[in-house]
Amino acid sequence: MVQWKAEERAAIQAVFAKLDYESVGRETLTRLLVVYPWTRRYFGGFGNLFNSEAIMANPKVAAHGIVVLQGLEMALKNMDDIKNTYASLSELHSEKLQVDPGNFQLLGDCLTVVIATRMRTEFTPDIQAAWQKFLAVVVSALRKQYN
Amino acid sequence: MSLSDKDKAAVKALWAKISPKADDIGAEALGRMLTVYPQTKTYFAHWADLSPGSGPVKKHGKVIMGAVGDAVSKIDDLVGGLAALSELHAFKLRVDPANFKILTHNILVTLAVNFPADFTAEVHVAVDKFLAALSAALADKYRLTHHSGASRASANRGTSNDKAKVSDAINKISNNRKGFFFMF
Repeated sequence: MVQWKAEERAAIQAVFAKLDYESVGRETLTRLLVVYPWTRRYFGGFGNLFNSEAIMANPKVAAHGIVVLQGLEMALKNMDDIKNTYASLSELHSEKLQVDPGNFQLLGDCLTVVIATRMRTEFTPDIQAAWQKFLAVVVSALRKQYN
Repeated sequence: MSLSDKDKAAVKALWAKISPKADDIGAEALGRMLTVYPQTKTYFAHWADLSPGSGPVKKHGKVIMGAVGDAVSKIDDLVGGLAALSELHAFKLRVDPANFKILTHNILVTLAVNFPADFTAEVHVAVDKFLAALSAALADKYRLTHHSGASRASANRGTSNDKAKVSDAINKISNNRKGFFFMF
C-alpha cells in the first residue's frame, strides 16, 4: 500500500486547490495532442485536431479536459485506496478504449508542465516530487486491469 | 524523429530568449531532477551537498546548460557535434541513458515555470524533439566494443589516463565555445 507523508498530502492538496479544471484541462489535453500527436488516434470522434489552434479551440477537447481532471479528483479523494477506486476506470481504458498505457505517463507529464506554468515558483521541487508520486500511483492503478 | 526547419527555428528562438538565464535554468532543472527522481543521486555521491541551490548543483547545472546551448549551435549535426560528450557519458560516466529522458522532463518543467508565455504547445513539442535528438546523440557511442575504456573498472575519479580522455573531451567542446567551461 502506498504510504503518504503529511507533507505529501498537503502538497497534492495545494496543487489541486489552484487547479482551474477548465483552463488546465483544456491546455493539458491540447499539449498531449500537439506534443505527442499519435495520441490523436484515441479521439477520432472529436473533429478538427489538425493543428494546435484547432485543438485549443475544439469544444470536445475542452469538455474532455474537465472529465480527465474530475477523474484525478477521485484519486485525490481516495488517496489511500487509489487502486480500487480506479478499478472500473482501468477496465474502461483497457477493454473499451484500448489505450496504450504508455500514454498515461505522457498525459501526466503534460499536466505537470501545465501546472508548472500556473504555479511557477510555487511549484517547488518538493511539491513536484509529491505531485509526481501521486501521478505515478494513478498511472499504476490505471494499468492494473490490463491483461 | 527528425527535426524540421520549423522545430529548429523554434528551438533557436527560445534559446535566444532564455540563454541569459541558462545557468539558473540548468541549476533548477538539476535540482528538480535530484529531488523528484532520487535514484539519479547515485551518479553524484561524491558531492557534499545534493540539495537544490547548493554549490555543486549550481556549478554542474551551468555545465549542463552550457552543453545544451552548444548543442543548439550544432543542431544540424548533433551526432557529430556531441561525439566527445557521448564518449564521456558512455565510457567514463557510464550514465544509464534512460536518465536522459528524466533530465529532459525536468528541463521542460523548469522552462514552464520560468517562461510560461514563451513555452507554448508548439515550442514544447519542438524543444521535446530537440532534447530527444540530443539524448540520442549523447547515447550514440554507447555499446561500441572497440573502445578500451569500457573494460576499465575505474573509480569515478579515475586514473590519469581517464583524466586525459576527459580533458580531451572538454577541449573538443570548449574549442567551439567562447569563454569558460568547467567540469564537475
